[in-house]
Amino acid sequence: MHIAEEFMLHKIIPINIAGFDLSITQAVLWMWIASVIMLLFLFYCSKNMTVIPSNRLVTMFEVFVDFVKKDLVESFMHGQDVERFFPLIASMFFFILASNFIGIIPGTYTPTSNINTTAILAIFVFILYNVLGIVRNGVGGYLKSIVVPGLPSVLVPVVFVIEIFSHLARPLSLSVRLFANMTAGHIIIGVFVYLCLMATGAFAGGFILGALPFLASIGMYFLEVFVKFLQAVIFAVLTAMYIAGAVAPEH
Amino acid sequence: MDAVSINLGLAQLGAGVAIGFAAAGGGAGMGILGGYFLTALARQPELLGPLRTYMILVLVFIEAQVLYGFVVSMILLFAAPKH
Repeated sequence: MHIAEEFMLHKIIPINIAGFDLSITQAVLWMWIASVIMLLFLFYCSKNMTVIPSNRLVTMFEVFVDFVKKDLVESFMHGQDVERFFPLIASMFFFILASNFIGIIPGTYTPTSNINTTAILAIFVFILYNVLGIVRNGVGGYLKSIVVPGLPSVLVPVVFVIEIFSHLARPLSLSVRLFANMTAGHIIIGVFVYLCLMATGAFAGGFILGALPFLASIGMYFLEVFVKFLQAVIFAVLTAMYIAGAVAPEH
Repeated sequence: MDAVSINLGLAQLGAGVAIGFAAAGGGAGMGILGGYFLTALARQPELLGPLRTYMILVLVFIEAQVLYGFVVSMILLFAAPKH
């Protein structure tokens, strides 16, 4: 299939250490490029911080940082936790934003359209919030906080088992959501372009019929830009929500 | 007709059915959500800000369920054994 080849990984520099395949694939390469671009932007903006933003780029990043702090972190956390977890959640947000947006350039590879990238992010969040919950509340307190308080004692074991499964499903849904959104967008654009090529090549004057899927692919492209931003926001929101639920279960 | 092509055809049929039902369920869910969002907005237009945030959050949860169906159909199309 033509469309599936878009998502195949090619090794650029093969590295093999003790049986583990640590090759530099194009996913790794574009992830580094995206991270470096985002870091350069952020360094530039932090060097040029003034009360009144000096240019448009600084204004844009101030809006982003403000959005992450006010809308994402402060709506779930309180007091000291805001300052403590804001750098983590902002890093997550900007990394995923850069990784998503590097893929809208034709010819690149979206790092987050590979399940490995999103899975390691989601597993990191899962381990982090469980460890934080145990450190803050103790093992007993954390296990107790999993079950909603005020239940009849008969229901507590049943709800406990259900909640354990819902916690285990969290990294799965977190990783598959980001991965599938990125993959699906690219595949849909690819299908529309493929339809356009098919209609154009089928008969003389087929380009009139082919213009329709071409216009649809442009529309999908703009939807993709929105979805890429939204998925970064959703990942950051869910990270903040899970950490806040683990460290301060009474809220 | 040999067994290989029947299995491949069934996998492709299953992929289509999977994404079709997933999209149908997701569409029904989004319709219900959008309808209630507009109802709430008509009653209290000043709540637009917080309501929109929550609507987009729930919208993404619905969309994730559809995308699980998409992942299943992609597995059926590309990753399933061909024979």
